[in-house]
Amino acid sequence: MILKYEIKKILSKKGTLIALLVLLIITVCSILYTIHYPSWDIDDNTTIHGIKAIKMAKQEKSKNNAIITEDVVSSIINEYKVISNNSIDGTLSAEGWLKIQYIDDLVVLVDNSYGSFHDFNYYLCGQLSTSQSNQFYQNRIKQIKEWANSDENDALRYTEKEREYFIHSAETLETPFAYSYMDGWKEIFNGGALVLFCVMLVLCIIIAPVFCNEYQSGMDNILMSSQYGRSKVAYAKVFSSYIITTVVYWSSVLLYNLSVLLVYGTDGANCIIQTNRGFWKSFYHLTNIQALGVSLGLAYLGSLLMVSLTMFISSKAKTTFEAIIIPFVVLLIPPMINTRYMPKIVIDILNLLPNNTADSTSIFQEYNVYQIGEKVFSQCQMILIVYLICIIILLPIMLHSYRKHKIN
Amino acid sequence: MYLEIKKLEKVYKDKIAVKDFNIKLEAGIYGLLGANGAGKTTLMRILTGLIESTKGFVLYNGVDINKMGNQYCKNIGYLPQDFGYYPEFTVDDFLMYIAAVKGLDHTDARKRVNEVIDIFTLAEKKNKKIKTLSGGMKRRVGIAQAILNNPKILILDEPTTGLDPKERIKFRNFLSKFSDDKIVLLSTHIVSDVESIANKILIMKNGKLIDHGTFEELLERIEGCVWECNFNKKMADSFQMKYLVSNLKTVGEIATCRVVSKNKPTEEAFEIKANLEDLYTYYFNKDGEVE
Repeated sequence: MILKYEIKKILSKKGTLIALLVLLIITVCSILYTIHYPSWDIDDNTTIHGIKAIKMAKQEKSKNNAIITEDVVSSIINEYKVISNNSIDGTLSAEGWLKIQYIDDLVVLVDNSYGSFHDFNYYLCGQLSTSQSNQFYQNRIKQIKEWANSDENDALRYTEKEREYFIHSAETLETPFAYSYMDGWKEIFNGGALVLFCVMLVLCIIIAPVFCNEYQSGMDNILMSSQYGRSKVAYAKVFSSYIITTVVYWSSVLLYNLSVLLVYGTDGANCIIQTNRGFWKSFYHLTNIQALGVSLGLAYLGSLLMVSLTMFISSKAKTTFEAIIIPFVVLLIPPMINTRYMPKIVIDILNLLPNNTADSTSIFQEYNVYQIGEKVFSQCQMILIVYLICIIILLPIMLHSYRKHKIN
Repeated sequence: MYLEIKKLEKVYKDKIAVKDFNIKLEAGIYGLLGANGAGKTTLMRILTGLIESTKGFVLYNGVDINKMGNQYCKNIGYLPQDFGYYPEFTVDDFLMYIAAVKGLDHTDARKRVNEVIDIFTLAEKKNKKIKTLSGGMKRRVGIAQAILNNPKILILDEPTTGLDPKERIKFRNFLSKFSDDKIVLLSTHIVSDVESIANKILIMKNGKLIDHGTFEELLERIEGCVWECNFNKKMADSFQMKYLVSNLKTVGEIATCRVVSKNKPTEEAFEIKANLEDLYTYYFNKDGEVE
């Protein structure tokens, strides 16, 4: 019964209702933007937008669904040359841009494969010959190996074990890749970060009063002099906070992701993320649907950590404002820090902060790893371990802090 | 059943809030009288287990309350001076929640909440949010939550604040019925409440228990020291500066004063029967002495 009323306490506040409403508005706006911004050029004078554009893209791009073999690579190179009118540098005319839409995803894959580790040239496809088509998969391994063994600054900051980790990942990635129309997955990874970030902020706002509001309102006088005021009430506060976190988080992310997939379709779910735009170099061996599961799981863990941190501060704070300010700083400040010239240890710590879990694109694109002893852990693995440890440590401290609270 | 306070002391950084407090409380109603800052709230918070004393003990039936933990809290009902509540909760929600926090299961809680709602005539307001209630109504909710667990020890800090005269009478009547086999300690500035309800009165000043006893016993201290005088109202200010005045009433040009003094203040003054306000004035003047 205490749990029921603790949940009611949180949900009955005006601040909670406003925060949830704002979250809903942001989620809906994100969905609408994701659905309405795509465009497709029918001809020089006609461009369609929104759902019509999505349907057209799906219809046309799906015609290219295939296992990427040497023959498929060859045909892409040939088709590009035809579209670019065999231009020497591969540049496209206005008419060429109209036609390239249909094979755009595959062109990008070829450009990724035959380009360098750091640079991307969209017109590279037009400079290739079909005799090179058998190098598509070896190129990737070669790129990563060369970079890992190079003297480039960003490679030198890794230990030998970490570089071996990247090379091993590249060498063991299963080929051939299956390509499918997968715009839905592309949009989810690109557009979901705002919703996830807002969920975390909103949860901090909602949960911040959970302990300190008792001190602020004077209810601590009654609670602390009651039989279960320091025991069951404390546990109920923690459970109610986690229950609300779980419901708010999963409702928001499922609303966003299911809405996007409903419109775009789930095609490409089982394609590996390396075939998804922007993830060519990723060392994770995951399909699109697996990557989504991992990123949502990490963001959920990030939310639980932020809520735990908020509750811990709330158990010590005198006012709700004090309880909100630190979680806000933890979430909002790190993304603004320019890490370009910072030592690796600082960057490694910043990469473990909860704001990162909202941005799955960064997690899967960037080469963030941690060597502990002889073992190398990916950023995902480290987040899982570190966050679970932090939550386990914070829980008893916050409960103790509340139980030992001194009445003013 | 008894609550024994032995050499109790509570020291804060720059103040001694409770000093050398000794008393044994048995079943009955105790009125705790004292000026602002006398230490009443601190004493009550120690008795409810909210804060720990610096020195001394509080024993409940011979056992130190600090060693009893939750078992002691089961016997406590407390209404703090500044009654906190959840504005968005209805009266019913609030009382059901507090009942659960006090250890009642759902069935018992439902039954008991219905009972206290009847006792304090809150039925019409039970589904209203507490923030919409008047100050007096909120106070009634505060008193109601304090008795939900039928406590053996009821501690009420300024319980009648905000209650109108009718509500105060109802409250006094309730307390008289409630306190049969219980210890009730209530602090108040309203001496008429103490006068009509309390079996015994505890006088607290500067953290110390300076006197205690029944109403009659305490009034004996100032027997023969209370006078009534009449004079021109222009002299009222100078009169108050010279004597301890417990009441001043002006009708037309004439001021009528109740004076607490060992000696007759004016030739025309005549002795009258002392009351609790006179006693309050006697104890809480500047020097603590009757002149």
